[in-house]
Amino acid sequence: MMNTKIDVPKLLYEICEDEGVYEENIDLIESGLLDSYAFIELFSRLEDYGINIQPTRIDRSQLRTVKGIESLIHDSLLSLSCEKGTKK
Amino acid sequence: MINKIKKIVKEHPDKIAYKVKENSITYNELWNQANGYAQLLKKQGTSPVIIYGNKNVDIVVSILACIIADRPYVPVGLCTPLYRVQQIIDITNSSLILSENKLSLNNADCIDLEGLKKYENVPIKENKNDIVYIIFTSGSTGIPKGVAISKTNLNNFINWISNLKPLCDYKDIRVLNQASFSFDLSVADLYYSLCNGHTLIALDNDIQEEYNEIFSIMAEIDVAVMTPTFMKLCLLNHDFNSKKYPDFRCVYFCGERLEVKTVKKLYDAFPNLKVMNAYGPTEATSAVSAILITKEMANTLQLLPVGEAENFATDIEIIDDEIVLKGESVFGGYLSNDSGGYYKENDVNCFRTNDIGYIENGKLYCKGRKDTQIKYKGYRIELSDIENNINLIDGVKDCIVVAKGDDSIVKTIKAFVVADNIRDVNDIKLEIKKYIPAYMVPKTIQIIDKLPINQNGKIDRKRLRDL
Repeated sequence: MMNTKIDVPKLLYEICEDEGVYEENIDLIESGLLDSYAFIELFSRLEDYGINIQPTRIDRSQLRTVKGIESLIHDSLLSLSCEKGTKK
Repeated sequence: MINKIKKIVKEHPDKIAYKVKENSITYNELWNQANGYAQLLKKQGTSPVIIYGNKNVDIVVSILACIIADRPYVPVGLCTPLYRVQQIIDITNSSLILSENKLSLNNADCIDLEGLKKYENVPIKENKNDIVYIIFTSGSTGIPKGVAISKTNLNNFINWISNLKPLCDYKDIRVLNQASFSFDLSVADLYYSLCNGHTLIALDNDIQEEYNEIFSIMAEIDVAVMTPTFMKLCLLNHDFNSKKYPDFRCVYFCGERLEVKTVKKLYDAFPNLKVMNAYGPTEATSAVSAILITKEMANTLQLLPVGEAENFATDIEIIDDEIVLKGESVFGGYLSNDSGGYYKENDVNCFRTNDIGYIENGKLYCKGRKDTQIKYKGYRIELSDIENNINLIDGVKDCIVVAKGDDSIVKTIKAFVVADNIRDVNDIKLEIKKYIPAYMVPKTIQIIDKLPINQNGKIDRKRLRDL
């Protein structure tokens, strides 16, 4: 299933069950919100949305903020549509 | 066990015994260093020795030195705050902490291995000890529980794991040490590797935070001993497959429930991998059963077995749906007065695990827990241990800790706290880190006015879990 409109704060809230994810400028790693369990859950759920991000190929600092994660998703969708365009 | 290692030292003196990051030690170096320090340990005293640190070569030297010196070792990870280390000192009556860092603790000398040299001119103290190691687990009272494992227990475990198929077929392999030494999953990789002449390669705790580094280590591994959660983390990398990691041939899981979907994903990436699922509490020496999980099992079963009767390490019975262990794997009771599930029957050590299980067609299954003990990040935790320690914080009036997750797999720990004059949950988080290890600190803390009560007048844990 492809979903281009992912509400990242809501997704993170579902994963972390902590309202801290809505805080502006929160460092998700530093705060412990995005621990290894949340990390697994985040990538697995993105996979369910059809978004395959390779954790080995990203700058881990992008996972520190909601904006960073949003931009990862954006980049992934962009490269996916480029791939599709090339295939056509 | 010592004789097994001695034999390997003779046969392969220059082989790497343990490697962590750029540091490594050969079997010969390990043996010589451990023997040297063992002589000093015999002079220092006879009490258990606390080994405080994460993975490094000195820790393995210290462990072997303690065994040679006939002194029980107590592995304690750096994530354990000093308050809890002091509790461990008090419970074990330990007079020595081997640590790279100087710690201010009462009643025990805190030195590194080199520091032992100050005891050079002290006469050797006669000692005969049956305990080989003591691992501390979470205790429901808020004080950690010491599980003392005897030489008989450990020898039985080493014989069992060394004869377990397919592990017994491997020669000259590299084994992964993922778990910290304070977590008894590491007993499996440490002793399987050292007693069979393999090379143990550690994933340093920092590396586990550095995702990409995991894979440079995994590229060197033939057999991995790890938790299922750690494998899930590895499998997020789509390049983690048999083409890129051709040497990886077997994985031994223990410490928490292995999910069917993890095995399926694993077989997709590594079609010829041998997947072993093991089971056992700390009280019965790391593991008492294991089974090879086939593709067919992963495709047909919802709950994977954790052992098969033909290769149990000790007697396993199901009594009133509970897995009960009896025999040589089972410890001789906790260091505290708490008997827990321990009892003796005809002079045989027995342990009621509190795990709900059954045996069907010769296979052992574990369905979950009878109590509130949980497994989180591979560690077992009593929720009341966290509650009792949160209650030590000034201003906290009451608290309840719940585990959240699905299918018996805990994904997060949440604390509900009733407090006076505390408005910022971060204050509680900072304070609780002084009392309990980092892996026990609730990820989420919520301050509430009062704890909800159910119709029976008891605290409504279920309602809090659903919040």
